[in-house]
Amino acid sequence: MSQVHKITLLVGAAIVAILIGSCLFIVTERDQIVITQWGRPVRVISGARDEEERQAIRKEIEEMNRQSGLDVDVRFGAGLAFKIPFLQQATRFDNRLLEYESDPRPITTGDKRTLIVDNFARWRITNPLRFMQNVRTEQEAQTRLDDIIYSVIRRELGRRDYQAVIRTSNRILERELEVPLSDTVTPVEGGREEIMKEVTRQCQPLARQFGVLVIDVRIQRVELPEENIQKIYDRMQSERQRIAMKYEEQGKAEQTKIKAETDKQVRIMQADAYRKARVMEGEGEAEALRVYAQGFVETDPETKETRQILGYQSDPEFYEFLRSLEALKKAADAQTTFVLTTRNHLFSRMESFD
Amino acid sequence: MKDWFTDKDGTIVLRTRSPRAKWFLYALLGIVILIVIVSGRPWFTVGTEEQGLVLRFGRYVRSAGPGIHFRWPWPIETVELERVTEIKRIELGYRSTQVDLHTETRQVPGEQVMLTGDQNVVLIGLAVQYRVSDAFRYRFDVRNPDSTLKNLAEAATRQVVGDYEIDAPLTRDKAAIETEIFQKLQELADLYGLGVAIVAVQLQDVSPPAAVAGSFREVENARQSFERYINEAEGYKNSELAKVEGTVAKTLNDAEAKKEQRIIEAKGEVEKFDRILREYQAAKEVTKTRLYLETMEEILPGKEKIILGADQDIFKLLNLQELKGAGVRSPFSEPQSINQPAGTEQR
Repeated sequence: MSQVHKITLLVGAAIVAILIGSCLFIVTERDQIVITQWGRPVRVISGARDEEERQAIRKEIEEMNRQSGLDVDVRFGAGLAFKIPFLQQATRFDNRLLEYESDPRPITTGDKRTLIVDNFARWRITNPLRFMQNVRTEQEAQTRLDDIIYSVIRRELGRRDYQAVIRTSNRILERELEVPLSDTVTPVEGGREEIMKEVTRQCQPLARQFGVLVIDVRIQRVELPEENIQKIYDRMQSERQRIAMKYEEQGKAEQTKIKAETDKQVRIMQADAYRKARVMEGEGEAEALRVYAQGFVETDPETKETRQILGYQSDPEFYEFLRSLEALKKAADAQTTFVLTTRNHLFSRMESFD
Repeated sequence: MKDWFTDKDGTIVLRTRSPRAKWFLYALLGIVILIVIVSGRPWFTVGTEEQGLVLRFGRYVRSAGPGIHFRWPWPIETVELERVTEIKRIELGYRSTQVDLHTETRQVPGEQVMLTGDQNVVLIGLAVQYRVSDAFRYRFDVRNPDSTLKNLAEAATRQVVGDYEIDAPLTRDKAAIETEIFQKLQELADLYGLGVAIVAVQLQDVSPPAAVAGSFREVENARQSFERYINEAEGYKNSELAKVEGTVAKTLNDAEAKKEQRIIEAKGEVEKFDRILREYQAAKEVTKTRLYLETMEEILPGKEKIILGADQDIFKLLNLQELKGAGVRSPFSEPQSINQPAGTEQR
């Protein structure tokens, strides 16, 4: 083999390698590809992962082929892909869930209140061919999405109450609250979750036209204009002052009640004790009377012998005699003058001397 | 002079005069091949907190756990590593930064302000902890999964708080609200296919807006003074009841003492009577006379006495009575006529 041959061989090999390199390209899991030939789409490499989605996209592309006389081939999944160099061009689209965030915008609700609403959405490109034909770039898609979402949200919020935007359900009306709700809190139909589902549902067919699936549209923030905020603050303030007053008054009332109950209890206890004491004294008196009259039986604590102590009743005459003597002793003080006759027992002997 | 030529099959063959130089060239060739292979990095390591995703020409083929693994050299296979055990954090309404050893937090007013279902305004800070549960989805299926989750956290929190009254996040139902946000957030993360698992949702600072904070404090004070009123009343109750228990016990004890005293004294008197009676029964007449005379002896000495004969008229003494100006105690002619019922006796 001659020297010239060898060089030709090496150059040839290099050219083949470059050609092969420019034919093959890598499609990652994050990509979807549309291959065009002189601007005419010939192949779509979709990132759809499950069978159902793949069937759907296949059907959609076939439909497009029929309608616009194209002959687009559908492939799926990441890996090495092939294109004819120079003749064909590959355009990449994102296969991931993509963002959308709106600026805060004033929206008027059905009950004529202005809210500043801030929402976001997540979407993905499901039909890269349609996406390429209709919006081409992500920025353009964002603009289109913004138009769709804003108009749908404005319409949906425009036919609902302010409260329905804030709340999700009516459970607040059934909760046991320390602070009673103001009259302006009324039952709502639906609520935020339902509104967002409805908005998403309405955005989906519009976005599908440019190959986009809107997964979810969600209200992130709802704020009130400055002048309304001040009104709310005023109301909150007066509401709180009312609660504070209620606590103060309830506390005082409760205190008075407890004290009054205590006083009542004390007086009843005192009266009760008085009554028991009187009964006891009566019992003592009665027992004493019995002892005076009947005497009592005493048991010797050591010998256990019992001994009858006689009461006054056993000899009333003698008791009378004894007791009179005693009374006499007490009755006679220093000033007493005794007038005695000789008939008296004491001087009966004198009589006999007469 | 060339050191190499090609044989008839086109293979490059080394030609050298010395075998030593030939070996040297073979070694050099070996090293070059090794460098080529090594520069393609046919192995990779996965840390304990990581998961490796192996891609062959961009297509996901397998995942690799912690340890060392082999792969086809670049450009055939590439590896992406994801920290799957790491707990990530979202802060809502505030941002905390580590300064030396302490954490400094800064409020983010725009994120804090939330409307409640009872048409009030509350400021809420929320921390969400999460980790990657599906590395494939997290890396390949979502662009900016972390900021997406943050959007969702904010939306979920506002939605849940919007369904409660202001006092619920402030005091009463923190735990219930946290649970609800947790569930809502996980549900949305699954709907979006973020490949994350929520680990915890915690309410941080929850406060009324600064403009009305004063009146909230007033309520707190009033609540405390409510407690104080009750405590005072309870104190009064306890001390009054203790006092009255004392007086009741005293009353009852006094009465009991009185009763016992009365009975014992009665017994004493009866016992005295009993002794005298027994003696009397032994010698009735003599004892009676003796008792009478002894009494007289006792009471008569030192007192004025007028003794009349049996036939003398007692009315002669009438003016004497007037002179004395005092009642005359009648000296009963017979001791038996002393009349005093036992029951009216006074001690």
